[in-house]
Amino acid sequence: MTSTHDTSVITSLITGVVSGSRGIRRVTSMLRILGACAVVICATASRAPAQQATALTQLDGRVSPTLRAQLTTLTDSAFAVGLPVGPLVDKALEGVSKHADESRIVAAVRAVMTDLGIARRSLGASASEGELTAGVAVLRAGVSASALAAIRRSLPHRPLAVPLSILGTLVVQGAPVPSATSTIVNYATRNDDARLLAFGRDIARSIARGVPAEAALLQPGGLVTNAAGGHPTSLSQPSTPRINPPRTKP
Amino acid sequence: MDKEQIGNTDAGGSPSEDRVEHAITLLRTAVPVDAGAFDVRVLSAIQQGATPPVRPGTRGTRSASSRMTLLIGATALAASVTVAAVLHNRAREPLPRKSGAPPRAMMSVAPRGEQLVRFSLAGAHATRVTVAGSFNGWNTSATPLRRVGNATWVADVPLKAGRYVYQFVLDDHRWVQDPNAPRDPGDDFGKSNSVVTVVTQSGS
Repeated sequence: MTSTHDTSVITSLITGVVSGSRGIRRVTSMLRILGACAVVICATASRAPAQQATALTQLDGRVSPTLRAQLTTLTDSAFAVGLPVGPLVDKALEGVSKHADESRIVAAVRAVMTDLGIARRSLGASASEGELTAGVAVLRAGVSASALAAIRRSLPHRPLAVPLSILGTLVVQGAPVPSATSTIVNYATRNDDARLLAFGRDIARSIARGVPAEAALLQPGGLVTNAAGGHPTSLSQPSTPRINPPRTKP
Repeated sequence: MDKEQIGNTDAGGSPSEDRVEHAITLLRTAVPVDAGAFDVRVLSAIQQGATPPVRPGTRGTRSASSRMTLLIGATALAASVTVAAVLHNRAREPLPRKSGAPPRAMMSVAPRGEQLVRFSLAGAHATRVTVAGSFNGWNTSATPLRRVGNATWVADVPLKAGRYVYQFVLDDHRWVQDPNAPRDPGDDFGKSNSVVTVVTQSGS
């Protein structure tokens, strides 16, 4: 409703600007341009609160009023310091679906908020929500905040959501943090997330089959034979969940 | 000549023929034209429709000003169109799916910017299996899996690029990790979740 209204206001202003002509009309048209710019700025600035509100609507009908109030306080605090609200709402919904106690849900949401703050300090203020979410996973896997910051310094302009997600899963599987970090960072410099994802899966599969983590990490992009000398795995083998190539509508 | 006159015309009526002849005569008569007055009228009409004379020295300034106005207007128009598109897309963002809505897992074609991800669980002896995770608001009924074998269940879910955590839900109450997917390090509510990382061709 609001967005439709904004659009109609912008359209009417711009229509007026285009149809304006000489003399006083020129001054009027300039004022209209300024007005249109103001509307544009306001519409852009109001997007973040709208996203917060959209995220919070997911709680409607799924949490008690008491829990809703507590979560709203937390998300307001997160929003005030520039942290994304989506991961907090997501954690709350997870707890609700798993029938966790309300106190436990609030504690879990608060813990996520703390970790998001650490991740943002390590990855920088411009880190995306995806990067911060993956950063939280990496921190919880045992990677230090300073190591996370070092990854950002090594790859200052590259989106880190996928590299961090892969690093987190490898560390959880038992890969040593220093070697896993250096391997992923080196591979991530190629700036190909699809190949990096396949590479990470390959390493994870090798570790799952009994290949020592250090050895698996030393096989960049190649085939890894499992410890028992069984079948090799390749980059092209699907894993579960399997990601199919995109299909186009006929 | 009006409709009634034409309608009253008959085959042998001489008055009608006279009227026709009279009209033809009038049309054939040459109309005198005052050439000088005609030229004056035409020139006058042209001068009234012409743009006012431009003062010397102001033409370039006005042109630059007009161009600047046009440029600012075009920039504002482009920005507004962009914002309108953003607002339009936001308005079209899907709301959290309610139970009973058609499950997206049944879609066979992934929308633009999404990847079709197949979730599968083998050896699950249950009457109903769903997948709940961060991609569907942890809704335990929104994304059912379909049975494809004796005890194998699958669902194809279109997902945008990102990192998602999930678990399977058997018979609406039993939470099961994906045995073939990596684990999420967090375990806020008991068993840790499974992780899937999605990359689309358009980037991550």
